[in-house]
Amino acid sequence: MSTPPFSPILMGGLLLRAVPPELVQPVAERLARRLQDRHPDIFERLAPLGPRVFAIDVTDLPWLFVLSVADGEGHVEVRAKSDETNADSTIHAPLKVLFGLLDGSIDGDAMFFTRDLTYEGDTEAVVALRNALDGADVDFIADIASAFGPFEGAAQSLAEKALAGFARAESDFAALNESLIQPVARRNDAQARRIEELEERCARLEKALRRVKTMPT
Amino acid sequence: MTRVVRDPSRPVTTLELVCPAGTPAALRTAVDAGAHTVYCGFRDETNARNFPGLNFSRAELKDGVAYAHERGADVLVAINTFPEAGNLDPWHRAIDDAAEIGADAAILADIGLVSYARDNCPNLRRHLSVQAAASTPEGINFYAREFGIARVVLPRVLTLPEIKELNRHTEVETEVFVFGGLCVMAEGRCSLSSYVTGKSPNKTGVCSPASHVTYEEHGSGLDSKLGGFTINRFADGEPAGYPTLCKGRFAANDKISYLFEEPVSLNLLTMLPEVADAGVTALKIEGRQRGKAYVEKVVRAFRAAVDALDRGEDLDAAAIADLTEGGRETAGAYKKAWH
Repeated sequence: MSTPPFSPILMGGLLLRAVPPELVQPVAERLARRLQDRHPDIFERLAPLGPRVFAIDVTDLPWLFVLSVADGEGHVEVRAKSDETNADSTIHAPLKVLFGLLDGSIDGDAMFFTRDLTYEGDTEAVVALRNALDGADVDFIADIASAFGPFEGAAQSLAEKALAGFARAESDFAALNESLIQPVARRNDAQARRIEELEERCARLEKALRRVKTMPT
Repeated sequence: MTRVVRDPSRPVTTLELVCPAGTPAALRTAVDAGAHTVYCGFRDETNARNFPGLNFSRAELKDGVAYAHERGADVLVAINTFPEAGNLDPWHRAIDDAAEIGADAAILADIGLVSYARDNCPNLRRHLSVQAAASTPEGINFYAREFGIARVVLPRVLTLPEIKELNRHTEVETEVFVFGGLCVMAEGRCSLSSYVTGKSPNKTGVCSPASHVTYEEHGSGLDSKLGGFTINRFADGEPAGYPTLCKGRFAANDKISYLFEEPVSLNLLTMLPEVADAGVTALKIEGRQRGKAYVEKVVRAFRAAVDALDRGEDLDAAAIADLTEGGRETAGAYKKAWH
């Protein structure tokens, strides 16, 4: 399972631990409906798979989002992470990666190769979901803003300002993280160099031993 | 940053950039990023990237062709699997529909389908897929003479000097892979995946089908499996890959090693001057199964490289390093050091 990065979302997630899933449910449901209304092609692309259940573990938030897909429609349920699910596939990734996959700004394969995203279960379903999301032109901010009717423009502008604020906070967190882990990183680098030296020494000794063993007696 | 200086004595030639699209959104992304041509497939077993959730309905292809044509780009339709005996209809329908929709060419592998396209859709340009494994001037010229093949996609087993020599003996345009996953087997003839999954890549259109792939986390890392067989074991923090048998890592005689080749990605960006010099017409980017972000980044980088080459400028290869499988890349057989 991927470890969440040190970020404002992780800190926010820790603060939100007291919020029960039932309170998040209406928001998640509304967002899922919005996505379905504006991008029905996502669920149409998944339809040939038949009914499937995906558990989406946002690693820096305290809840599990269970997405059930059947007959070209989707339904989302928010659960506690400790809850059992009957999911065909469970996907683990931080929120930023999941948003990037949703709007196609992040390459899912590259995220998987580098293990920033991991999953268990039905690979076919995960591949189909990835392809279906990538094939839709999702613009999450615009999709949410459109729900505000006549205030769409204001909502969009507010969301963009919030995103800019988040980017600044993220940069601050990165600087803080670097200064916190620097002493440990230095020690790790020294240990890595030492291990490398020992490995080289081991290899030399093994080679010498092989030569001794093959010498005629 | 890697820089490659163009040979000023080489004549300027615009290389055609042929880019992948697994979805309509990826097609629009590729066109907007500078693709001269986009290739894609119908949502069924008639093409060799038959992954779940991927590919085009007829209506989506029609819209995609219109989008590309409005912006001066071409669209090729890959119909490059081999039909089952007695079940030709899906493949014939695919060729008929590609012509009807106004695609600029069909990429075909099966000789019977090439013949069908010549007889029934004579105005649809015919390209010979890499799946046909035509790698000699004699073979390629036969296809041109008998079936009017206008272009051949060359297998990834030839060196650049071999491609140059081949181009001297044929009038048929040649297209070569320049970036993406590297198939090390004889394409169109490999059955490795069939032995493990029971599904033929050449007939059902997918090597290592996702339905047979599993990943299992364990204490010290991740196992990738195909059809229940462990194909690779990745340590914690080691870049993972998709399990294909030819790129599996196995234990034998107390040694753990890759069977044929490590899972690396092809990248010829820095060799484009030599590729152009070999007389090829088009550069193919692999990856219809990859997302829009990959398509955008790779197409933009290669279009910039092709344009820079034409202007006689140096090439910059830094932009696409993180998109390669396992983060590593190779020039493959194009620059092979073995015989």
